[in-house]
Amino acid sequence: MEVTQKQKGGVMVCRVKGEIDIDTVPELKGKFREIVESKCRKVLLDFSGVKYIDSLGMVSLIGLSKDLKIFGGAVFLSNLSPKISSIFSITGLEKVFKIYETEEEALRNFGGDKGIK
Amino acid sequence: MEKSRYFEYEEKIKKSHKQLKKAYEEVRESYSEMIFRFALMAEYRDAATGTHLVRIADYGTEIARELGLSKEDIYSLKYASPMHDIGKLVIPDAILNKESGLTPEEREIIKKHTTLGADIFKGARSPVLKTARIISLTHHERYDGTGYPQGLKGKQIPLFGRIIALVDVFDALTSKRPYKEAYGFDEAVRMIKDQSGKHFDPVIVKAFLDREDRIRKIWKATKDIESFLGDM
Repeated sequence: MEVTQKQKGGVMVCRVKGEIDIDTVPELKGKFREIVESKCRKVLLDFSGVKYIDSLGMVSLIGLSKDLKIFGGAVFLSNLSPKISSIFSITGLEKVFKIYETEEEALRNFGGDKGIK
Repeated sequence: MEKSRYFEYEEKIKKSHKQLKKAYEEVRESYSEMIFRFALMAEYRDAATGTHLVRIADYGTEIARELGLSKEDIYSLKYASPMHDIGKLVIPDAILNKESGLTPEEREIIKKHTTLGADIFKGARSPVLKTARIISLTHHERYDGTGYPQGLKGKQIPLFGRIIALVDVFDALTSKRPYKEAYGFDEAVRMIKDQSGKHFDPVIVKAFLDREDRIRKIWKATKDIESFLGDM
């Protein structure tokens, strides 16, 4: 798994690539911790390169969302492949996270939003 | 052949290979999505959420890795396992959702979800769907031969069926049902251990126990997801 980060107009855009699973989650959680500690409050996770997400991966997203919410921030998601999107559907997480088709659309919707429906 | 022409052909072949690989991955992605959505249709009829499907895939993947299965077999198991109960789609609601007091005839009808599921995938050619057929048909077989639908014994039961038999029961034990509370993780593990050589293949039980710490993490993660969704 690889994570690349870039600031875009006050939003931290993280492009995640590979499988988010029991073996890669510790690394991802470390990245998330760094982001929260860097006082960045708006995070966009671009999932275009994500091949799979398991239960632990989903919990790591929930954790990031909760941590950011404490500080009035939010996490958005974009570019989910049909397969990842179906995993979010079956677990019910699609009703919880704000998910956009493209990065641009997510960035447009970020202003003042809380990220959680 | 002229050297520059050779490199030109080589480049073309590389490009075509890359395009084919991309197309193959897109097709594989699409049917993986269909599989999850299809499996959810069956799941919605007798369970509150589809987290069960993800757990089955995650637990099964852990056992398959511990057994040293190939990457392709692990992929097939991961995406086929959510379809283990697909045959329930054709079982009448009135029987499937009955909380207690099933008649012997109704029990026999429910047991048919194994063969009905296998029928859905009859003639399938992709490795994932072939695996789905095997799992649908054999996930209620027992190592000692007392399972259904065929009463297969020991290694007569395909490996994928033996793996899903264990993770399906473990998940049922640790899940709340209308007629029972969820068993705790340690108690459920103990019950699985007790069934080694009876309901389950000892080799699969060992692989499960060798990955107990990781199985516990998956179990806890899905509990956390459910509690998070419940709080929303």
